[in-house]
Amino acid sequence: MAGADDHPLQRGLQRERTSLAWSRTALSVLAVGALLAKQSGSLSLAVAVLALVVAASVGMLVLADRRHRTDHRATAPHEFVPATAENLAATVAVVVLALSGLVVLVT
Amino acid sequence: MSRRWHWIDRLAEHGTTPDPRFTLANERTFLAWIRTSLALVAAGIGVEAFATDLPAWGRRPLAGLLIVLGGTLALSAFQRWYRSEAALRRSDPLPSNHLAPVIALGLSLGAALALVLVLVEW
Repeated sequence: MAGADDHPLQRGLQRERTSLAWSRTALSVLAVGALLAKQSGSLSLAVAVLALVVAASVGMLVLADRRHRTDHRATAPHEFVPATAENLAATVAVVVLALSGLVVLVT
Repeated sequence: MSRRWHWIDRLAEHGTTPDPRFTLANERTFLAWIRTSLALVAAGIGVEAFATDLPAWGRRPLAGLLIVLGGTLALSAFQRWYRSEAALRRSDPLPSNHLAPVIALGLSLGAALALVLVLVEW
């Protein structure tokens, strides 16, 4: 599995791309939350959705920084651990946004 | 190691740790699917909010379809990620996933409904 291109620089670039993927996801979560909050008729729901997406986005950006620190030389122990809890949290955030969208749709 | 639920830790202890490039690639693929599901949810909200020339009897189901599709895709994406990570750790071939065909089918249904609504209003 490890080939000729398993070079520390490749490893660092991979980390950078993963970190960027988290950043992009954080921005997408913020954007959808803002759209939903704007379209929501209820102020309390809008505030709840905004609180959720701000918390989720900040969490993802902190995660992107901490977990995938782009040190091109060292081996970071974090990257050997699958991000189960983090990915599950991201999934839950999207499902909550979808459910909130349905709530806004029917009210 | 931070305190977590057992089944979450279980994946980290499953099989042997693969080349981290594969773990990272799997993670990025999961996030790409998550962004796709967010786009679907946004499209559903957008249809309801902005496609006001379409009749409400059809617009609401269309918006609902897109939102439900997005939410379901997010859950499927997590399952795909989990099963792929487990397969990587066992050095098994990656499990086939049906995310793309299901999304294609759902979007086709949505497009057909949107077409019907546009023709009805025309």
